[in-house]
Formats: sequence, structure tokens, C-alpha cells
Amino acid sequence: MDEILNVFSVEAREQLEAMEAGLLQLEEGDRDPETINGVFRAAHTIKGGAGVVEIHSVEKFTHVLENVLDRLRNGEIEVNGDMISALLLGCDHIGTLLDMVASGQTEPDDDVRRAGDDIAEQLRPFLGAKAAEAAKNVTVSDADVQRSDREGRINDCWHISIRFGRNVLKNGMDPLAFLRYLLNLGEIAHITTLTDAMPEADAMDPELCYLGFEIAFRSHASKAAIEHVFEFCRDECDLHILPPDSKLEEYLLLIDALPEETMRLGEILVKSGALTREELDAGLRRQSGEAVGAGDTAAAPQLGNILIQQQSVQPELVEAAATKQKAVSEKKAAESSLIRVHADKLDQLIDLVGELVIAGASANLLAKKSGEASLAEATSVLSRLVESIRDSALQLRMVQIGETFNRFHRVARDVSRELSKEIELVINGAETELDKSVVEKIGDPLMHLVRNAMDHGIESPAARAAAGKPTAGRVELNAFHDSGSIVIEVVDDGGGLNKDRIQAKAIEKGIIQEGDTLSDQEVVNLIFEAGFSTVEKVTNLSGRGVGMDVVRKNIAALRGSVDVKTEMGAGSRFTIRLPLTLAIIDGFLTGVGKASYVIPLDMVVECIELADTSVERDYINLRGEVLPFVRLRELFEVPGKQPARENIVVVQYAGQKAGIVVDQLLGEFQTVIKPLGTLFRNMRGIGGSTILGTGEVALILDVQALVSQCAAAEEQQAHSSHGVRRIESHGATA
Amino acid sequence: MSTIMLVDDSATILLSISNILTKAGYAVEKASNAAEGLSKFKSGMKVDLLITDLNMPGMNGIEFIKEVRTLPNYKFMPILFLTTESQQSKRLEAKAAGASGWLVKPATADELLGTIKLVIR
Amino acid sequence: MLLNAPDIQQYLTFLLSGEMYAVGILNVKEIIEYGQLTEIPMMPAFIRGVINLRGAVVPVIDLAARFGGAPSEQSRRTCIVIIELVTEDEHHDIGIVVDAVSEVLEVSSADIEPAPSFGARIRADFIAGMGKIGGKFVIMLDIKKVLSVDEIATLATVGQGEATN
Repeated sequence: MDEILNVFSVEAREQLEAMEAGLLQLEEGDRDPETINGVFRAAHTIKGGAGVVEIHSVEKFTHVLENVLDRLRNGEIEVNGDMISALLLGCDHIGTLLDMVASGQTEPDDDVRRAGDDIAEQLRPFLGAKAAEAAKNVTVSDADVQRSDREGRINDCWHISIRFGRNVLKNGMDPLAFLRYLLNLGEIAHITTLTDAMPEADAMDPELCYLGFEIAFRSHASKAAIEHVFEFCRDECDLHILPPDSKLEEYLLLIDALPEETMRLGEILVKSGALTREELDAGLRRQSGEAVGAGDTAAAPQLGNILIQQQSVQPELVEAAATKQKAVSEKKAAESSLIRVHADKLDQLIDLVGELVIAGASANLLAKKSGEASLAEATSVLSRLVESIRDSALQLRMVQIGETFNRFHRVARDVSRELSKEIELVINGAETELDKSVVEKIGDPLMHLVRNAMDHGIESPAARAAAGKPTAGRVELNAFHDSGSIVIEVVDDGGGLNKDRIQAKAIEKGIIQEGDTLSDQEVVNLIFEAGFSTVEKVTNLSGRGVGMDVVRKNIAALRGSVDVKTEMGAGSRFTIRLPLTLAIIDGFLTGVGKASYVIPLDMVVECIELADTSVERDYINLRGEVLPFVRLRELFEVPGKQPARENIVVVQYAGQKAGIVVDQLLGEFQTVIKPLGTLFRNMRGIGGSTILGTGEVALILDVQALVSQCAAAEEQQAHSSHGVRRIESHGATA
Repeated sequence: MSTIMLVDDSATILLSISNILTKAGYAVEKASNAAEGLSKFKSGMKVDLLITDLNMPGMNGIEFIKEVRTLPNYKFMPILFLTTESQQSKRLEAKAAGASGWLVKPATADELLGTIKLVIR
Repeated sequence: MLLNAPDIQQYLTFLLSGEMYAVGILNVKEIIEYGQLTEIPMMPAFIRGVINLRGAVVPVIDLAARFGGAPSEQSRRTCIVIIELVTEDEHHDIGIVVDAVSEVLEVSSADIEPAPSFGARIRADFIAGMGKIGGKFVIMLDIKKVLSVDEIATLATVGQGEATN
């Protein structure tokens, strides 16, 4: 049962997100019926699931929301701000209830219950007058068919008309079996066997069935349940079931639909107690009258089967709705091809593919060594396939960042209200994909940056107006791919970071000393230092202890980086760079002495020979540009003699180039990243490890750290000698 | 052993019902949307009963069973809708599309199994 | 814990710089030959590097160096003992380099004496007790302390210096 609870809680949260997103869309003026229906469906699914797992607090509360949404969906009420606010509060409350469930508390405590009641109270105006309405969906019985009090007459029997198909016996079924089964559901109050269809004895085929029955059936069973009784023969027989207290018109329609003579059937109905004679007579009179006068109601003379009548209307409506929302349909089509897979299964697959990649590399190596051309050929075909499998497998885990971004609409809305600011949230690149494991971990840092931007970045409308800016502040969330990384930007057009204040604060906190000379960028980067916070007033939304240093640390843990550009009065731009996946990369293998090092291929720009190995300086002139470099041999203290010829691998990260000097270039290969584990968590310069075809472990270079190290060294040099062009450090790496 | 195909976009429902069915000795095929279900049918697998949700994102239950009924192997397969939908018109529409019957959510295990026993051949 | 255990437990004994040590067999995952080790740059001497253990990358610690002595010289009998550590919810495999593996012994808790507060050549908190085996003392290691991931990770920072920032 725990598993179901788990599934429910994951699902409910997803639905809650969908609900919230939909509500925000509605608030912004979206009136697409599919949006409303989507929100309704989300509430509906939560309620349904809660019912199944017996979390009645959630079921009951969600039911209230569902009712409001149902009325909205049916056009009985209009969207308005108060309603959306209350519904959003409702979403929050469901979230709270789910949290409680997650912590093992199935019944809310008094405070929570009171909060829920408050919200329900706020929703009451939208629930409509009929209190009964509220109960309608809770226990959906089959009494959905209109019941009418036919002139005070009560008929507590179902009326079943059945004409068995000719082939029912031939197909191995016995009409009596159905009737016997029917008795499981209730009692037969009256039955008339119709043999009207029976031909003369000589024309009769004993293998065919000519029988029909008119049955008055007393039962508490649902219509569906009664229909189920006749399920086996439904395709071939003519079956009509009228619920107790059906309208007279429905009996009339029934009579019309059946093959026998009207009067004969009428008599049967009267005899079985379904109709009174008066009703029958009046009804037949009315029907024929209308036939002449072409009455204004839907009761046309050729009424035919009521079932069919309704069918003829509905599909058209459905179709019309479908064409009207072509865009929606297309989106639906995309959705419908989704399959839900447990993330663990995917992880397992990716692990296996990783092993396959390594095993493949090993086989390839052996094949090449063997000198057998055909074997080498075969393994290289295999390698290509493995590469495709790897890409496809990784693709499975790719998700769009849009869902993560959409959460911030709510944040924007709440901050706007709470701080009386006007904030417009603009999202670009929502369709940009990245690994699910990265998405999961980026949410918190992103939330922090966005809240900061809204809270501290965007000024009050008055301040903005005074500065000649539009009163509405703008926060942008951008995502795009850039050379093997995904870049996420949080941009605001607020006041920007105050460098003087940062510097003063940093001195106060002892992060820097008075008199330290720092470049503007270095000053700005101080915000990422531990224990730094420039805001005097701690607000409700951000600045609660968690600083930018935590943001940076979390991002660094994903092998990513964050940096900031800011301009006083014009705003700030935080740029997060993350690897697309945490599992597998294309690597470029290099050798230094006996050791092998892997450089992520998408960061490699080019390789050049280091012509003069005797140079003492740590930069070269690369086509007129200064290229700082690190010598891996020196940095890593690799034993052995420096060879006569060395190579520089030119790498690029976040727009900065640097060189990594190695002995040998060993070529490209696919590689599975094996984390080095917590033991090495403080290590810099090495990003992970991988297993080569030989079985040997090779280290993967942390290019980002090496590049920033180059840049820092270069900057120091620049300070001392003005002859070299200065390269700015973007420094916020780990 | 009879095989029952279960289609519902709610993972909770999918899991809980399949647990009930499996315990009762049925083989269960699960699909979380109509398209997935349809592709399983198109593969020609043996299915003795289809239980499907009505209101699903993407292809809804009615469109779904209409498609299923066009496949020769499943012309006579019993189909049950699992829904809370209360509109009679929807039900009629569904019946016309080829549904055999209804199960009202949340159904108890007894209701569910009782109905299945009736319809399954 | 070891001291309170009334029953007989099994220990793997091994030689390191001429001294006999023992670890509880429950912590020992396997013993492998020394070989194909990848060094990690900028690490303290007691971190020998990493090995490929059937697809998993496992760090290897030079126990002699960890105890403050000179790193073990590699010989024909040098082995890597893979130790399995379970701390809270984390699970680690760590290899330790030993000069030679001796045998698996059953030691009764009655034969284990408390660690001396001084006199042993290694840190007192690394010692869980002194086992008396065949009239000789064997140092029973508190392997969780010896291979404390937190401590090693912190030590691993040293030596990296300010190199990269």
C-alpha cells in the first residue's frame, strides 16, 4: 500500500503544479476551455487518487475546488481574481495536506483544518446556491438519469426491453442465462415474453432465437450493472433499459424504438406497472399531435432510439470543439504519446549503457591490437551503434526546463502582491532540454536567484518611475544550449548591485581588507563568498540565512558555474552554466607521462603543438590573441621527464579560452563519468574519472577550474606588466 | 489466465487497480494513456477485457475505444469505462463508441471484480 | 562495541610495516592483487589513487602512510583489501594497501583488551582494542575511524592549496 501512497503523492504534486500553472494562465486572461478543463482534470485526478489511497482530508478538500472548477468548466461562473486567489490558496493547502501525509500524518491538525475551512469559505460564493451540488460528485451513483416525478406517480422498477439477436444460441449463449444472472442484481417484478417474431413452424429455424422480453425489474443496481448482465449479447441484441421513474417521454420513445406494434407494447407497459393507462393514452395523443404541428420541442415524431438520437448530436460537438482548438489538439497529440517510466529504470538503463560503452571501448582496443581487419571493422560498427544507443538513452532522461521555469509565475505573482511591486516574468527557451537529474537539483538555486531578483533587484514602482523606468519591473528567465552546456540566465531590470555597498560589507565581514584593490568584477563576485549578505532588512521572501555562497556551492556540485554581470540602475544578469548530463560525455584523451587525462570534448577548441617547450612564460600568442596555459605536468606533479614535443589543447569555457599542456594527444572517445566519491569532494582541477578500454582509470579534467585558474594567473601577471592584454576573470567557480 | 488491459492517466489508479486485479489472478497490462494502449492493441496482444479511463489528456477514452473497436481482434472484447463522469450524454456517447459498461470510481475491489466476472468471457 | 560483544568474531589479520593488524571480517568485501592504480594529483601521500573494481572507481588508501609512516613499498605480497563502510545512509568502498594478508582468525571478545592510551605507534582512536592471539598482540583497528571519509576529505584539501582560486 505504501507504494500506492508514494505514487499518489508524486502524482498529486505533479497535478498540483499543473493546476497552479493553469490557474495563473487563467488569471492572465487565458480563457481557453482546454486550460480550464486541464485545471479541472488535475483537481479531479488528485481527488480520485486521494479517494483510492483513502486520504480523506485531501479528497474532501479537493472536492470543493473541483466543484468550483466544474462550474467554471460548464460556464456557470466566470473567472475572477478572488476566485483564482482562493483556488491558488487551495492548491497551497492541498500541498500542505500532502506534506502532512508524507510525514505520516493522515489527519490534519486543528490549525490546518481551520486554514482549510477558511479557504473553503472563500470558495463558497463560487459554489452556487445548491448545496446539494457539492455532494453531487462525491458519491456518483447511477441516478444520473433524469428522474421525474410523473404527476406524483412513483415507479420503483427498471424497465428492461430486450430482443435477442437471432444468432444468440448459435454463439453458444442461452437467453435464460442472462435472466438468471439478472436475478443476482434484484428481483423481476413482472415479465412478458414476446414471441411476435416467431415465424410459422415450418419456417422456423430451431437454431435461431426469436424471443424478446419486457421486464419490470426491481433493483438497486446501477444501469451499467444491469447492462453488464447483457454484455455478452449486447452487440447482437436490441436492449433498452429505462431507470425507475423515467419520464413518460422516454417510455414513448422506447415504444417507438421497438419492433412490435405500439399498442401492444403500451399494453405490456401498463400491465407491468411502468405506465398507467392514462399516461399511455395522453402520451400517444401528445406525440401524434406534435407530429402534425411540428412542435417546437425536440420530441419529433421519428424519435427513434433515444440512444441514437443523443449519439448523433454528441460526436459532432466533440468534433467541432476539436477543430476549434487545433493547436490544443496538437499539444494533446504530443502528450498522448508520453509514457510514464520510473526514473530508477532509466537510471539503471543509463548505467548499463555506460558499462556497454566501456566494454565496447575495450573490445575496440583489442580488435585493433589483433590486427584483424574484419574484426576491427565489426567492432567499429558496434561502437557506432553503442554511440547511438548512448545518445538515445540519455535523451530519455532529458526533460524540458519549462516546467521548472513555470513555477516562478507563482513566485512573481506572490512577490508582486506582497511587496506591492509590479513584476513581469518573461520566459525564453522553456523547451530547452537537460538531464532530469540536473533539473531536480537546479530548482532551489534558481528559486533563490529569482527571488533575489524580484525581492532585491526590482525596485518599487515609485522608485522606478523616479528613475524614468516603466513601473513594471521585468524578470527574465532564459535557457539555451551553448557548447555542450546549458545556460540559464536570471535577468532583472532593477537597480543592479551596489558595488560600494558590497565592498563596504565585505570589509565589515572581513572577507577583504581595507585597501585591497579589486576589479569591479571581483567586487561583484564577493556576493558569492560565504557569509555575505548586503540586505539590511531580511524580508519574508529571501535573504533568510541562505546566501549566494550556497547557490554557488549547489551549482558547483553539478559541475556547473554561476557568474553575475551587473550595472547600477540597469539591473543584473546571473548566468548559470551546467553540463547537459551528469552521466556520459564525449572525451578527448590526452597523456602526460604514464597518466591519462580526459578533457570533455565539447570544451576542446583545437590542438596545437607547443613549438618552443623551453619558454618560461605561461602564455602564447595564438593568432594575435594571448592564450594563457597550464602545464599539467607541473600542476599535477607528474613524474618523468618533459618530452621534446608537447601539445596544447585549447579549451573554452564560458567564453574564456585557455591552453592545457599535455605530452600526447590520444584522440576522442566516449566516456562514462564515474564520480570519484565523497572522499574527493574537495578536490579541484579533477571533475571525475572514467574507465578506459584497458580497464585503467583515467581522470577527467575540470576544465572550468583550470580555465579560471589560468585566467587568475594571467590577471596577476597583467597587474605586474601592462604589456599583456588583460583577461577578465569571471571567477565564480568552485 | 485472462489478460486485462488497464488504461488510466492517473498512476495512483493504475497501481491500485492493477494490484486488485493481479491479486485476483488476472494478468494486467497497463498503459498511462490512450496512445500507449492503442499501440499495445496494434501489436496484436491477447486482451480479454479493456478497462479505461474516460477523461484523459490527449486522446480521450471515447476516441480511444472507437479506435480499438476498429481493430478486428478486439471487436467483441468487453470494454469497461472507469470514470466519475456523471453526464448521461457522455455515457451514451461512450456506449455508441463501443463501451460495454461502466465502473464508477472509486470502485471497491468487490464491485470491480464482480463486474469483471460478468463481462469477461 | 567490540568490547561488549560476548561472542566470537572473525577477523582478517594482515601485516603492515612489520606490525600485525586486524579488521572485522564483516567490513572486508574482498582482497585483490595490487596493480593498475591511477594516481590522483595534488593529494596527500596516504591517498594512493583509485582503481577500477569491476566498473566502480574505488579510492585506495596507503594505510602505512595514514598511520604517519612512510608509504608501503610494493612487494610481491602487497594486496589491496577492499573495505566496505556503511555510514548513516552512505555506502563506501575503500581499498587499503597492506604488505601481506595473513589469515582469518576467530577471536573471542574475552581475548580483546582495551586499547592502550599510549605506546602503540598509531593514533589511539584508530584502535578498537588489542587482541591476544597466540601470545602475541594484534592491533584491532577501528576501521570507521581509520577510514573516516570526512576526515580524509578534509585532509585531501590540504596540498591543493590555493592553487585554483
